[in-house]
Amino acid sequence: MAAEVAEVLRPREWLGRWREENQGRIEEWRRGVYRFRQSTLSIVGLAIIIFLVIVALTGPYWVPYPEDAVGALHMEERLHPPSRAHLFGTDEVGRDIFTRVVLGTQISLKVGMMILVVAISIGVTLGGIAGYFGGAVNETIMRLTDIMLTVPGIFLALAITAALGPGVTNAMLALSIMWWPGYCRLVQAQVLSAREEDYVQAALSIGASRPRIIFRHILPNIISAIIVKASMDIGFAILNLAALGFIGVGAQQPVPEWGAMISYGRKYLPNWWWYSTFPGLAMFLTVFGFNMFGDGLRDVFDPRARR
Amino acid sequence: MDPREFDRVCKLLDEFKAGRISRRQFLRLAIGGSTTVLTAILAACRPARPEPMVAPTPTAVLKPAATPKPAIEPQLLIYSGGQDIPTIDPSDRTDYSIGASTRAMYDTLFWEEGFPPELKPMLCLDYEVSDDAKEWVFHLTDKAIFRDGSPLTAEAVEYSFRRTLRFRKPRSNALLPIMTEESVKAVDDYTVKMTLTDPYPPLPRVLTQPIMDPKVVKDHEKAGDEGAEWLIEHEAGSGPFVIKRWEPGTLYEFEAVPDYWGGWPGKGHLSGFIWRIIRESSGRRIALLAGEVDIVDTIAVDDISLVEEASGYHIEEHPGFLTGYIKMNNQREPTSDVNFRKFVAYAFDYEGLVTYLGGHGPLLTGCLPDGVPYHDPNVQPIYRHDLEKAREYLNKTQWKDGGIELDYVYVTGLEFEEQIGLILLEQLAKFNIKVNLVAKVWPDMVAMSTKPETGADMMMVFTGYDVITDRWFEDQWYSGVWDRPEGGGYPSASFFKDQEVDALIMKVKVTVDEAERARMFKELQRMIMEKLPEVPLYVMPNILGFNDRVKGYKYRGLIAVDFWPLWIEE
Amino acid sequence: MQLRYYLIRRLLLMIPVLIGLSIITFVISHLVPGDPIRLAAGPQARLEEIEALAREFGMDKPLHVQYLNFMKGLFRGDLGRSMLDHRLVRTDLVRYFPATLELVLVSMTFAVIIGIPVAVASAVYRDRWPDQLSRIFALSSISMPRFWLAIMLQLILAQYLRLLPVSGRFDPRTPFPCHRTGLLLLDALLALDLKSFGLALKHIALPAFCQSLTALALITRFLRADVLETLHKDFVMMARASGIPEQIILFKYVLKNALIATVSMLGFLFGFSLGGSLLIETVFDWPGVGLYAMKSAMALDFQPIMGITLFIGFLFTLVNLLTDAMYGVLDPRIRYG
Repeated sequence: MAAEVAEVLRPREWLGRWREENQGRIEEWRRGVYRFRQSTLSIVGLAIIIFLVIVALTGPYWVPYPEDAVGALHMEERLHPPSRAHLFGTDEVGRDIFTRVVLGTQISLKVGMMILVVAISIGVTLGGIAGYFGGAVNETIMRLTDIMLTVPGIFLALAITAALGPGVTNAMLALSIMWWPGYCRLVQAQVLSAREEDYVQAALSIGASRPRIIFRHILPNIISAIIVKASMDIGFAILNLAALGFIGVGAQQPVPEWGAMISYGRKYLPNWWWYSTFPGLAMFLTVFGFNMFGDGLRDVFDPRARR
Repeated sequence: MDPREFDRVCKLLDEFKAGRISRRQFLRLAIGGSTTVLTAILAACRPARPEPMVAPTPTAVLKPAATPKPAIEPQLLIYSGGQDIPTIDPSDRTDYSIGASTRAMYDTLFWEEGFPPELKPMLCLDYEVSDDAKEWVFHLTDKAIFRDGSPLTAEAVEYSFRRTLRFRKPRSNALLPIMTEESVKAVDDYTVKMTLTDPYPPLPRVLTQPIMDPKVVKDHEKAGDEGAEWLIEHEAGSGPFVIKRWEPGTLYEFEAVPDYWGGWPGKGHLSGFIWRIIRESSGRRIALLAGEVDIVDTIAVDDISLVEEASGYHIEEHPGFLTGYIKMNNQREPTSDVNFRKFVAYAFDYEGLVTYLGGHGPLLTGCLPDGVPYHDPNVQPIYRHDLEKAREYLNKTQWKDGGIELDYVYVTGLEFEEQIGLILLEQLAKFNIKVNLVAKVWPDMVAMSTKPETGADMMMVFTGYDVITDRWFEDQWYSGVWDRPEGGGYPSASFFKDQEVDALIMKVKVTVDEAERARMFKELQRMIMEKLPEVPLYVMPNILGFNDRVKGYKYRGLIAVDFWPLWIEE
Repeated sequence: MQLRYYLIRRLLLMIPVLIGLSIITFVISHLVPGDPIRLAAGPQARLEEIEALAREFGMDKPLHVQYLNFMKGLFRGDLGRSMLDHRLVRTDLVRYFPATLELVLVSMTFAVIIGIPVAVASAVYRDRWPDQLSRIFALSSISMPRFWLAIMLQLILAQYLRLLPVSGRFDPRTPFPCHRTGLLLLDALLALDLKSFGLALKHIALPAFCQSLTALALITRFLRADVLETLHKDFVMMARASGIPEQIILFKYVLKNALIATVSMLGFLFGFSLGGSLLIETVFDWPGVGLYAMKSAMALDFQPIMGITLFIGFLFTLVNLLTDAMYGVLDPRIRYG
C-alpha cells in the first residue's frame, strides 16, 4: 500500500525537481552556513540560544522548588545566601532564586517572541502595502510610522501600561505597539527598491497577479533582512520588558520575571547581593546570546557588511 | 521669666564675679536680653564680696579658670525622604511630607507632643467650651509675630480658617461638616470665637490649620486666586523656619529664625535643614551610612539591623497611626457573606506577615490601633491564624468546596502590599480558592472604590485618622459616605452598610458626656469586629534612621519629622 | 539648492506628525479607566467639589472640545496644569529639562570621543584582538540591562569605594553660584567656579557613563563597518600607491568620513539616550524629564504626560532634522531630490 502511494506521489522526483529549481538559493545557503561557522562568536551565540530554549522548555520539570514561582512562601528561610540547597540564595520571602530565574527564562523568551510576532505581523503587512502601492498610501503609512517614532519607545510604553494597568499582557501590548514601526520601515524600503528589479518586471509582464508577486517573489528576498533584525530585536524586547518590570508596570507577583526581580532585589543591596545579581546575569546571558547570533546572521546574509 | 534667659544672665553674673568681664560689659550683654534686665542689673549692682587675697599656692595658680559651657553652635541638618513636597499652600492638603514642612514654617493653635499625642498650647494659650460643645472661645498668645515683625492676631486666625473653608480642598474636610465661614470670628485682637453648626467635642484636635499672614497672602494675589499660585512654593507664616531654597524634585532648604517668638525647646537648635529627596529606600540607607545625610525616613525593615549595628547610628521606631486593612466588598458575593469574611480572617497567616516585617509591625487588636482614644484592648472577637476555624466558617457558606476566584488589588510597586497578597494566595489555595494579585496605580484604585459595582473583591488600603476616634468609624464604616450619588472614597472601599452601626456612629458624634462616649466607642469596636467588614491587619511602623549626632527627636505621628526641637551635637 | 527644499519639506511635514502624536497621546491619557479628578479631589470630596475640579480642568466638556482647547493652549505656550499639585506643566518642564539635557549631552560626548578611535582601531586591525575585544565589549554593553549595571556600579563605586556620590546632581550643602543655563557644568565654567565644576562633574560621572554605554557600543559597531568600507575604496588605494603615509590617510580621509557618518547617527542616538535616561534618572535620583514622566504616569496625571510627550516628540524631530541637514552640508554626495 505504501509502495503504491509512493509510486503515485513520486517524492524523489519532486525532491530532485525542487533541488534543480532552487539551485542558486541552495548554493547561497551553503556559503552562508560556511561563513557562519567561521565566526566563533556567532556559534557561541547560537549555542547559548539553544541552551536557553532547552532550559525554558524543560525547566519546569527539573527545578528544585517549582512551587516558589506560583505563590509559595517560606518565611523562615528568607534572605539566605547561595548554598547547596539554594544555588542562587533565597529572596525576601524565602523563595529559591535559582528556580525563579530558570522559570523566568520561559517568560522572557515567550514574551519576547510574542512581542516580535505581533510587531512583525503588523509592520510587515503595513510596510508591504506601503512599499508596493506607493503614492498616497505610502505617504500615509509612513507618516503614521513617523508619529510612532517621534517619541522614544519607553515613554509611550510607560504611558500605555500605566493607563491600561500593570501586568505582563499589557506590557507586551505596549511594547508591540512600540516595535512595529521599525519593521514597517524596513519592509517598505525593501519593497520599494525591489519593485524596480528586473524579476518583478518580468513577472508582471507575463501576467502574474500582484499578491503573487508580493508573496512569492519579493518577500523571500527580504525575509533575510527581517530575520536578522528580529534576532537582534528579541534581545532588546526582553530588555525593555525587564525595564518595564523594573519600573513596576510590567510583570507582577508572583510571576518570576527577571526585570521585576532586579527591582525588588535593589532594596536588599549590598548585603543580600544575590537577589539582584543572578537575574541580571541571566538576562545578560540571554540578550548577549541573541545579539551574537544576530550579528553572525547578519554577516551570513550580507557579506558586504563584513568587508 | 524664661528659664533660659535666667541661665544666661546667671552665667554672665558668674563671669562678672570672677572678674573676667567688667561691669560695663555685663550690663551691655545682659541688657541684650528681655525682661530680665532689671533683675540682672539689680543683681550686678550688689557689691561683690571681694575674694580674700591668699598667697597663691602653686596648684592654685595652675588651676585653670572654670570656663562656662559654650552654647551649642547651630548646625545644618540634612534629612532625606522619598516623597516630594508638591505644595505648601496651607489651605490645600496635608500629608506626611507636606505636614512636616508646613509645621516648620507655620504655627498652629495647638501642637501635639508624644505618643499618644497630647495637645499643648501654641498660639492658643487656653480655651473655653460650652456645655453643648458648640461654642468655643480661644485665647491667643500675644507673643507671636510674622516675618515682618507684626503681631499674629485673631484676625490672621480668622482669615486662615475662612480661606481654607472657602477653598474646600482636602484640608477643609474635617471642618466643613461642623462649621461655615461665619462660624469663625475674631472677637478682639487675641480672642477667637467659633460657633459650630453641630456639636463636636474633639474640636481642638482638628484645628490643625496653619495660620497665615493675611497681608502677605493678599500682596501676592493674582487674578483673584487669593495667593494660591504663590503659596504653592512660598510661605506666609510665623514659624521657626523660613524657606531658603526651593527646588522641586531635588531638595528644599529651610533656614532657622534664630529669635523665633516661641523659643527653642531643646538644648540647642538647628541653623537650618535641607530636605533631600532620595527615592529608593536603599539609596537613603546608603547615604546615611556614608555620612551624606543625617536622618533618613522610611527605610526598609531589613535595613534596621544594618543601621543598628553600625556605630554612630541608631533607629527610631514608632507605631504610628497608618493602619492596613484588607477591605472586602460587602456588596458582592462571596465577600458579602459575613461567614466568608470571617473565613478569610481566620485563614490569613498573621505570624507569617510579622516574620516578613521582621517583627516591626504590631498587629491590630480590634479595628483601631493602640493610641487612638477609647481603643479597647480587650475587644472580642479577634481573629488569628486558625485553619480549623477557617474551615468551620467556610462550611457555613455556599462555597465550602472552593472553586472560586477572587481579585486582590494593591498598589503597584509596594512590596509589603504584594506580600500580603502572596500570603492570601498561599493560604486560600489550601481551600481551593484562587486569589489573583492585581496591581494597579493608586488613582485607579481610588476610582474603583467609588461604587460597589466597580469595587474590588479585596483591596489593600492603608489609612489613618490620628486621634480623632469618630473619624475612624465614620470615614470607613458609615454607609452614608459611599451610599450617595457621587460615591465614596478609598477608606470606605468595604461598602459596609449596617443600620445599627450607622445609628451609633451618628449618635456618638454629638454625644458630649465622656462616659457615654467611651461606652459607645467600645460598643462600636465590638460591633465592627463582630460584623467584620474587612480584615484589620497591622499598623505600619514609622522607622527612621538617625546619625547619633542628631539630638532632641520626638515622634509626632502622621507627619515626617518635627524639626523644631532638634539640634546637632557631635 | 535641493537641500533647502528638502529641509523646508521636512519642517512642514513635522506639523502633521506632531498633530498626530498629540492625538495619540490625548487618546491614551483620556480613555484610561482611572479617575484622576477624584483622586485629586480627595476621598471626602462632595459632588460639587468634584464637579468644580472637573470644570477647572475642562473635563466636563466632550472629548473633541477638550482636545481643541488643549491645542489652543498649546499655541499660547500653555501646556496645562498638573492635577495633583496644580503646578504649571510648562514651569516644571523648564525646570526638569536641563538636567536631562545635560545628562544626554555629556553621555553622548563621552560616547563619541571614545567611540570614534575605538571604531577606527577596530577597522584598521580587523579580526585581530583589538577588533575582537571591541566587538565583545560592544555586544556586552548592548546586552546588559542598563539599570542593572547602574545599580551595580552605584554599589561598588559609591558605597563600597566611596569614590563617587550616591545620587543627585550636586552636593546639597553647597549652594550653586548662579543658575544661568541650567546646565551645571556650563554654569560653573561661565562663573569660573572650578570647585563647583568639580562637584558637578563628580555627580554626573556615573549616570553619564551608564547612559553612554549603549551609544558607545552602537557607534563602535556602525562606525567600524563604515570605516572598513572607506578603507577599501579606490581613492584610499590610490593614496597608498602614491606613497602617502598611512597616518595621513587615516586622519585626513578616513577620520573625516567617520565623523560625517557619526553625525548622521546623532539623531538616532539622541532619541535613544533620551529614552534610556528614564531608567538612569530613577536609579540616580537625577531630577530630569524621565523622572517627571514616571511620576506623572504613575499618578495618571495626563496634562503633564501630554506636555512631556509632545515636548520630547518635538525635540526629537527637530534634532533629527538638524542632523540630517548637517549631514547634507558635510557630505556633498548626498542628494535630497
